[in-house]
Amino acid sequence: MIGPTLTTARLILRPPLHEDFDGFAEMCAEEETMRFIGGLMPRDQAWRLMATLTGAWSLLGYSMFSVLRRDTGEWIGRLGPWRPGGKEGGWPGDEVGWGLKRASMGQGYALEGATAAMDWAFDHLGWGHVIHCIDKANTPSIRLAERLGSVRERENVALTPPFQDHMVDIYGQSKAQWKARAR
Amino acid sequence: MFDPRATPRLETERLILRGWREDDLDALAAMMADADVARFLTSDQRPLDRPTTWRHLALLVGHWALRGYGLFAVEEKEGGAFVGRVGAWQPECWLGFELGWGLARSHWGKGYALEAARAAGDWVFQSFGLERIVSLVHAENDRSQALAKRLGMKVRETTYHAGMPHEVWEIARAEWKAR
Repeated sequence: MIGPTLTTARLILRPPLHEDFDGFAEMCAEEETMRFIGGLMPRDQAWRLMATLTGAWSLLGYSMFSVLRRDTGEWIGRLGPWRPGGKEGGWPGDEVGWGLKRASMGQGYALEGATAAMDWAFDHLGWGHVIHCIDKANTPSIRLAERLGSVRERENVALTPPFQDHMVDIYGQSKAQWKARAR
Repeated sequence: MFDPRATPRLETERLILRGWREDDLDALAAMMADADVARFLTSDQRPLDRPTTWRHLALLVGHWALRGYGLFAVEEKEGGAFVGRVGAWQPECWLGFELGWGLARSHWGKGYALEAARAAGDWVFQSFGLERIVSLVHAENDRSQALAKRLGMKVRETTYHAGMPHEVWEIARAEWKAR
């Protein structure tokens, strides 16, 4: 397998496998979940997105992890380092992003998983600064970024194609800030 | 999980079919920015910009990772120039196990697509227990229709794909082997 498996108190984070696809496709069919992260996707598009995230692991050595519950093994979302195109790709920075199925929101899973992904990005990818690209109206994600200790750094930034029309705010923090954060 | 770094390497008289590398992006982006190439390869018939091509490259690699097969990167044996992508394609909801091809404009007309598709088809039938393979060809794509015919394929049906008329060409294992 390409990439590591990270374990937290309640979660397993590992690169995507084909067996994740039903859960992934279910999430892509949830209107509220997808509203700020690419929009609703039918199953064929969801597969292409999951394959793209998977292939990015090979091209970059990092990409979004699949998130599974340790107690049930259920796939509940995807989160982690994301920079399509790598350093030269025009993305606003080294991102740690997240998205969970609706039924798994509100239980602290995103915070728990994103914390592990931030640790991994700073410690193993050598990133000095991490950002989160968040739609202005995506209140739950803004709240999570703030709980992680990130602050709003830039407003109304365009993403790269095919999402060039999607303006986001950039939240972020430095490695030093992350390391100094009370746990 | 299949590791795309372990993609098989196939050799023909003039070509090498191999796994994808990040440094294929420049050549793939140049190929996909060409309107003549994009016309029959992209879902909206429009060329791809570079960031979208990077995502496409990741999709090509991820297809190998998730399925264990995919489209190969094709290069010239002599000199290593990037030629295009040829091989197996079956994303979710696809109409079947497809043998697909697409070459950079500068490599059309040399018989490369036929040479690579024959090697890829041989590999597909040797490696997987398939009874038949298909190729989805745009109704106006005369060059690919001629290639499918030279591969021994026949039109099974016409269908709508991405809102446009396409022909579904197919060939059974026994027919492929008997060529």
